[in-house]
Amino acid sequence: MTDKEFTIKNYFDFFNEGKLMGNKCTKCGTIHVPPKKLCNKCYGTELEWFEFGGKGTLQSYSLIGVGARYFANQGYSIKKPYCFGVVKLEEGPHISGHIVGPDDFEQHPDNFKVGLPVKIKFLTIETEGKEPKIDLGFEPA
Amino acid sequence: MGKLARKVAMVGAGMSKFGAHFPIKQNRDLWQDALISTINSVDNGVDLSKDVEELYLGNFSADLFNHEAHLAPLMAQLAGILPKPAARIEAACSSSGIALRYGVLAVASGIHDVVLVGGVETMTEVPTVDVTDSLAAAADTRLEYPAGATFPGLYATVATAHMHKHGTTDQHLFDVAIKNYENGAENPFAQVQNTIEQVMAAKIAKVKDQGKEPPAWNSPYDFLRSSSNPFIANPLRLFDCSLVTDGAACILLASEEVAKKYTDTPIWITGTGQGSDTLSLHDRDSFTSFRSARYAAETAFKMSGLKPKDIQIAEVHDCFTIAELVALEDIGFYRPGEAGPAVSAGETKRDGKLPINTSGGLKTKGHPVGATGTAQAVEVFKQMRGIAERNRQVKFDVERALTHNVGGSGATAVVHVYEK
Repeated sequence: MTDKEFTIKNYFDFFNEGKLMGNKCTKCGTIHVPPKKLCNKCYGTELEWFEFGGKGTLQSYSLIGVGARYFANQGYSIKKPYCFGVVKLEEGPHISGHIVGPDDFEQHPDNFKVGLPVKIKFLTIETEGKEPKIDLGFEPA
Repeated sequence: MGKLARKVAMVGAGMSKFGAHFPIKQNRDLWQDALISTINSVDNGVDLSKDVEELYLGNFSADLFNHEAHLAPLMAQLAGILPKPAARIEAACSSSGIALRYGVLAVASGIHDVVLVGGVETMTEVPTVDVTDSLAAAADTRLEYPAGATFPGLYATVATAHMHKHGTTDQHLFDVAIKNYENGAENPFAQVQNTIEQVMAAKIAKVKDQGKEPPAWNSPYDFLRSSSNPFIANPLRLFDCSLVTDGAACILLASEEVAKKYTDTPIWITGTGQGSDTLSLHDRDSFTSFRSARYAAETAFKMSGLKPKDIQIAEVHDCFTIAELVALEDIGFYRPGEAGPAVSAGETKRDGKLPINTSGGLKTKGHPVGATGTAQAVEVFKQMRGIAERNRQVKFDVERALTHNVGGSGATAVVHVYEK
């Protein structure tokens, strides 16, 4: 697919193409996200890029009122919480993501439950004077 | 394998008052308060300059909090031990628990007879949002932070999973907080020395003073479920979270051969265990238990030859109320899901069958992150000698105790077992 090196920068650069990319060990089949240079299971060093389908389920989450500065800068506050979640991708691995939905979806705890099916939604974060940044998010499937 | 090569004694232990001290007191001032307190705790006195052979200093992030990075030689200078070696140890909120472990290992190895270990952190120099962001640097800043992770948020994620899997309730969490406020009210070194009832009464009085209708709270639970206790990270509210604190703590360790010079009543550290887990919470199979802490506890128990049921009191890492429940289950005091009901039944109160966090815990004693691990050992030192201040000394002779200190959302954990 590509011979890009398995680095954290290349992992994030794929977000700009709308892709969540990990890698797969050609020896034992273990899938990693982000990609690893050394297979975490068998120490194999022959790995290939792997694109995730984008579907998963919410494993756990929190609606965060007192958030990170990065989220305060996006307009979130104790009156407007955001949802941090841990998602199990249908291919197996877990990843953290900002869980979003239409309108004020995040401000209603009833919209969230463990096991909620979700799909990837890449989020464009605009910061004044900077290039837009793409973050990994999920929305209800 | 897995045994200490020789016995290690805690012969002195002390701490500064914990609180919001900046700018009146800063890292170096708090450290000296802890040093004085430790020197005074040594029965037959100690000359640190003559006796101490190395210093291990726990500190999470003076770099981010105070623009100070190379703290160990400064603290060694203030202890008067130059040119002896000194090193700063960083392991997030378990920094000084790990410093204690390295001190124990250094004495057990035979390379040193007397080691000073300590911890210091001054967190209130920066605004709260920067405290939150600096602490978040102990999580995976590349993968978790852009998703919105904060420490309250990560532990809230643990709480959501614990509630889902085990039926843990907000009442169980409130009962952890209520107990730790009761204990902190008896600790003159604690940052907050009021019970929840006193906090609630003060809020009612304030509203009345303003000539407004006071809230109709019939119990602490009504107050804790009200808007006066807002969600920081749902399901964790303000009173589920530990404090932002400045403080220092210090422990003097000695080999068996040398310990008797200092005291007739040493406290032996008979087990030390440390464990690691994935930095990111999401990389784990379970979000309701920390593998690092289970491994640390198993290792420490195996080394000491004791079992969870042998422990009479423990100081555990309650950076959030849910963390105390996870700790009680990871150490093996309770089976998964049973800690919440046990706390609500009063089993972990000072007069219960297993007093937990008699100091008030991180919840009310305060949580100057790099000093927390050694401050836990200070409480054990006092309880085992029967000298805990005010009314918080437990009513039985404590012969076996434990401390449990966690860094990050469980990526590092360290457990120590103490015997008389």
